[in-house]
Amino acid sequence: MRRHLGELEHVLLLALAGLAPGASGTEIRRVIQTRTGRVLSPGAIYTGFARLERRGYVRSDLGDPTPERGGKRKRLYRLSPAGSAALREAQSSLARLTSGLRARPARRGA
Amino acid sequence: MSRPPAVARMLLALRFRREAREIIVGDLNEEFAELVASGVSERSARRHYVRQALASVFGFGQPDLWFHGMELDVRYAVRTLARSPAFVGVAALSLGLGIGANSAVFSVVRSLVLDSLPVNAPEDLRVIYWWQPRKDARIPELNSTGYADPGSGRGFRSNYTLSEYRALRRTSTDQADLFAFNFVRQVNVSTSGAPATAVSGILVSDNFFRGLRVPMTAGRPLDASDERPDAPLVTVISHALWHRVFGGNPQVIGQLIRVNGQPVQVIGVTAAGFRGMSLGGFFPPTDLTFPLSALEVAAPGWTPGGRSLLIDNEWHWLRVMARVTSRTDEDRLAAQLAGALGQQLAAAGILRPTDVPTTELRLIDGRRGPEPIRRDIEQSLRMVSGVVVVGLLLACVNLAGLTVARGIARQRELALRRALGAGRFRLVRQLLIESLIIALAGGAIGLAIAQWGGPPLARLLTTSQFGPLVVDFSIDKRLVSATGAFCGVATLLFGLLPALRLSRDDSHQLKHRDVGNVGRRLTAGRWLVALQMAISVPLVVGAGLLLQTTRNFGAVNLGFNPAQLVLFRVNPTIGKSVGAVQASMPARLYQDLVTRIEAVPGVQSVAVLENILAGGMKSQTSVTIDGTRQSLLMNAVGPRFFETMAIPILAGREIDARDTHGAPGAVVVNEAAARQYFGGSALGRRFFIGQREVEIVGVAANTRYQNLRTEIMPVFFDSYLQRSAQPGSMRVAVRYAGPAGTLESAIRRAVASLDSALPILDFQSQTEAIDATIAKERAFTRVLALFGCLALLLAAIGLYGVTAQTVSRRTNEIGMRVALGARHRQIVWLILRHVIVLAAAGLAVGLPTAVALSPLVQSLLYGVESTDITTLGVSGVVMLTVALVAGWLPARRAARLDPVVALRRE
Repeated sequence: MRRHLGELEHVLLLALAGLAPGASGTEIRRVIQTRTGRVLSPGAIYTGFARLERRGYVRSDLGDPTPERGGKRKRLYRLSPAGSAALREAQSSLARLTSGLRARPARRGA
Repeated sequence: MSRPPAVARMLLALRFRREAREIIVGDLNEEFAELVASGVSERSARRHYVRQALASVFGFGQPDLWFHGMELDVRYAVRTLARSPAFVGVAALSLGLGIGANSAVFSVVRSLVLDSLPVNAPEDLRVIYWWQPRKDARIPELNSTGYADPGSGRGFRSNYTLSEYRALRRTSTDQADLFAFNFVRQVNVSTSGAPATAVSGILVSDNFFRGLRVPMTAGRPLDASDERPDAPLVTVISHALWHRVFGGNPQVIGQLIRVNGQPVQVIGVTAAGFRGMSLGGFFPPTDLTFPLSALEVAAPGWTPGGRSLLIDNEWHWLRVMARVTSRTDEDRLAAQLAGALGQQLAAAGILRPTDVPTTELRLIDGRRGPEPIRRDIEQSLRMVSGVVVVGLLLACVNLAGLTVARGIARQRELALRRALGAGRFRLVRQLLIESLIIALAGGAIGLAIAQWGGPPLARLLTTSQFGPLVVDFSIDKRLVSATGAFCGVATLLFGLLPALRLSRDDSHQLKHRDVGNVGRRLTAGRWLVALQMAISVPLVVGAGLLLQTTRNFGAVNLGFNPAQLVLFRVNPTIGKSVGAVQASMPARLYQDLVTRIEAVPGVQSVAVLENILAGGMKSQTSVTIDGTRQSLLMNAVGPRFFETMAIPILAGREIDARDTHGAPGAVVVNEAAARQYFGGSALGRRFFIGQREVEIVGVAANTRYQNLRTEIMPVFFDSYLQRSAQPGSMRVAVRYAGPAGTLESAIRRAVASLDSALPILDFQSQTEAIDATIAKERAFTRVLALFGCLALLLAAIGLYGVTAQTVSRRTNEIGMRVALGARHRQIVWLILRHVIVLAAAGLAVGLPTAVALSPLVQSLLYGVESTDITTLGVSGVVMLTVALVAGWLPARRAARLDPVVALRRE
């Protein structure tokens, strides 16, 4: 059964697509924060990617522990082919929806 | 380097498994390091860290999480609770009492059962136990405690002679550090200017401080240099003694104090927490630590057979413990030590050479020192734990009732939330969060109560003739986690049932305010009240049984007059007091002492005695009456003993001044002895105590001897002045007239005027001495009476609440009935009927429970059976009466309703 991407999943995949394969959770958080202003907690990132990985959209490896991480390992994520396909599909469905819309001036106080 | 906050990591553990936690903590750590490196203050970096950890656990944007929206729930719960401060106050307070009692008991358990010795790396300490090869095998007499393994029945002990200890230590030098010690119960200490006091000491091997790793406050520990034959006498004092006697003055190092009359130099002070090796209560906290070479000064009496224990090969007087390292092969070490011990035992003729291979040693966990917990204390702890757990349970049940009642008032709100799409899970979670907040408030109150009520509780539990134990009530991680656990359990107990009931899916309730429905919901509250009654019954019955026991103790006919009587003990054999100096003439000392005290104003008579009557001690000896050997209770007394104790002399005379050494042997027997052994005419008869022939010069009335529980037994009293051995430690009894006021200080002055180096020990009144023997019973009477009253009060409040609700729900109906001519009595009965059903249901469950639990208190009772019908009956009647009063108040209000007003309501 095919499921559409959730909003958070969509954002995570987009951020991942813009980074080189093997991006860490911290890098992804930073990209989302700088480009959208949205702050996601490390827990949200981790849980989100765990779900994407279960669905086969993302692959991940464990990195080596480093001293600045207090001896903890990190998880490095990359997009899987299925993930790329799902992301393309989501993007184009959004594009189909948005095509023909004219940008209206935003109403204040709505 | 700055470290990220640990609390955040613990928070994450709430929700994430290990791998996820590692990644998330790693991310947080990385950010933290970056923030700190970029010049952000550490404080705000930490705050960021905690906030991100919180967001990770409770955060939004994770729709499938259990924790989704938790933050909102918490906020909402706080707002809701803030609207009913009275409910929250009552709930938190009653829960706080329950939790506080449990936390206080936990503190005692922590000190007496869980704590390790306050030394570095206590987990590497081992006690070296020597195991009996077979259950029936002979092992030599030891001068200290041995224990039996409950499984095999084999005995084991950790006592060795000095030469055995040395052999063990030689064998093990490369693998472990073996150190030895033994307690000295009483040491006489005086400093210049201060009166003599008795403190407890310990004799230790030169490596004791190194092996145990005791931290020091000042000075240096004992070491091998203090064992050299030419070394001066030195001692290390405890932090407690340092403050008690020297006011914490650092100048104490190097100062000379007098120990049993000998000058000894203080070289060090141990750290504040260190109170000696006996955490389980067998020995009082240690004040003075001596090297083994100070044996003759610290324990001058320890010369069995006239030989010093330092050369003796028979008395196994030293406890031996070891500090092992991670490299120690403990099995191999135990085998090697067993071999060494076997050879020593064979050499001393204790073990046959063929039995040497059967010698078995084991290295047992020694982090709590050599002794397990004292059994009487363990038993008390168990029982009190039971009572406080029941107390907490009661508070929870009571609170559950309150929560249900409150929930009924909140039905509309809950129905509204449901109608707006809240799932049952969300509602249950919401209600549970409210309960948890109340429980946490209760926990905070509980911690405060534990701090305040703990010390008296500990005194109650641990009082005995060994003296009270030191219990630590400081708040630490373990106490907080235990209290937290009590809160969690309490939340589930009092919150879950109401939450589940109230969140039931009855969506029509928003439309109909169906009276019948409210009624059904009330049922839960009702049965909770019945349950509360049931739980209270065993507490009330237990309190009743113990109150009767106390009354029975009070009614025991002692046979002497305990009023206006004080007692104290002196021990002239410790220290260079006059008695010891005057070529061992303590008998003279006691005679002089009596004369001095007789001169104190208000004193009527003074007598010397061996054992306090009904004071917990007894002596027994073997006598020969008409050629038959008998074992008889005895008490050594001096002149005017019977007069001082106010024991009637039925025939003949009492022991008096003429019965001294060299005079014909004279004894007084009690009536029971006269009847049992001399056919009633005892006067003038003779018998033998060992080789000594004595004549019965008087018959005294019967008195209690060992304690209040033991029946009247045959006893004889002989003159302490006629004993072949010089008296050691004796008691002095003083009967006085008028108020006790300044008597004690006057007596102390009189003793000091005779010998200022003679400490007065155990000064107490006769009544206090008797009370000490029933301290446990009295403690439990108080604990149970307190909790019993509390339980009754809570049950009464619960019943009142439920009944009042019934009345207000049925106002309409009652108004109708009154309008149709129902009488006052009928209305009261209408309401009270339910109360009686509830109370009866509670009793029906509670009374059998009380009977089933009664064996627990059996050992405390005196003169009353644990299944005493009268007590059960009276408890039942008391509870029923309380229930009826609690129910009658709202019932009366119902009956007085004005029908017009009542009918108008809705």
